[in-house]
Amino acid sequence: MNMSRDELLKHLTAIDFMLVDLQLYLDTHPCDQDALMRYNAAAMQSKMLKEQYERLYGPLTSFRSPSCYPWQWINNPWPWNYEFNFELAGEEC
Amino acid sequence: MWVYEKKLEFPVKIKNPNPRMAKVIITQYGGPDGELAASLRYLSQRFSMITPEAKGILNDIGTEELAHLEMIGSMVHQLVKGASIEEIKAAGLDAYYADHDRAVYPVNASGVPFTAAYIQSKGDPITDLQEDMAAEQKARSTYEYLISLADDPDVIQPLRFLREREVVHFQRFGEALRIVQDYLDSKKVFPIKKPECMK
Amino acid sequence: MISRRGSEKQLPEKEYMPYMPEMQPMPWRQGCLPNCIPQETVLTNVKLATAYVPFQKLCSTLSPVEGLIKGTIFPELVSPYVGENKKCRPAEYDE
Repeated sequence: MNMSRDELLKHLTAIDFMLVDLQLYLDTHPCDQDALMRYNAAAMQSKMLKEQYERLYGPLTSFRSPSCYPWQWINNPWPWNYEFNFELAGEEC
Repeated sequence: MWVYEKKLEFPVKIKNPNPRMAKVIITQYGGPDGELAASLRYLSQRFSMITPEAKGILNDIGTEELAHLEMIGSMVHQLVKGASIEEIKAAGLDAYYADHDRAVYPVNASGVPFTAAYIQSKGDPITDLQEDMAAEQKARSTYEYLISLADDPDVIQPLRFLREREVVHFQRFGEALRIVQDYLDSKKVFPIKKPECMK
Repeated sequence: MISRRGSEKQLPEKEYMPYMPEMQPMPWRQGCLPNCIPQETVLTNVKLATAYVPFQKLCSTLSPVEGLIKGTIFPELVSPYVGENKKCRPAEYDE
């Protein structure tokens, strides 16, 4: 499955966001088994998407992600740049 | 400790510069109800908080607020980056420009710099959680005012996201407060223990 | 759902195993029960001078992309905002 960079980043951003929202829910509902199951399933999917993204487009962290030569971490664009981000179609504002 | 991931929590892709919007949005960067205040407040309060659930919530929401801080910074940056000096002057941002050019600096919408006086870390867990709930409501209101002021869908979409996060955070802090209140009530049920010095 | 009482005890150490009782397809939009109410509806032992926010209860979640657009994966917490009409003067409220 070869997604474009924007598509891949969109799905990774979305699944990571799901993890954030579930994580906060689990902080106050530590015994909710359903939520925990969804969290672990999403974590596995996030890991797969992250590995795929990093393999194609470079490291997402300077902490555990491997890098090609020369050090890829500092490459442009950075997340605050227009070019880094993808379009997210939403409802009309 | 913190690990930085090289992506935003929600995409910020603003095609058209708009220094007038940047001037007001910056209040969620360095203003009293902004993300810097929120993250500093929660990450400071977590040291003295009780119950694992409440500590987890302060830690994790504090971390998420740093991600929101990054989003607001990105929005301000993209809104002024391509703006001409004439546009900046017309927007009333010339005073800011004189001190900062097109850089991002933590101030409120009137240019008042950030201060720790915006936050409190009182130590009492109920007091701290109530402060946090109030902070989330203040942030939500501010985002509503900003959404009312904005026209550009590229700007409104991330603002809506951030506003919804405040609603969710309020719910979480409310739940943490219930857990802390239950815990403190349960402690009162036990008989008074002998003080250490009398054992 | 009754709130879990907080504790200050340390949890015993155990080998880390992700909790995954059955492998299921991604469970977006799966409700738990047909008439699942996503919150507690009755509060008991309420005291004076104390604030209470009802506990949320997980019933279903939105898909990840839909959740990202709306700002939360929990449909019960979605709270859309209609901005103030920019052209109209505000209506006068009775004080």
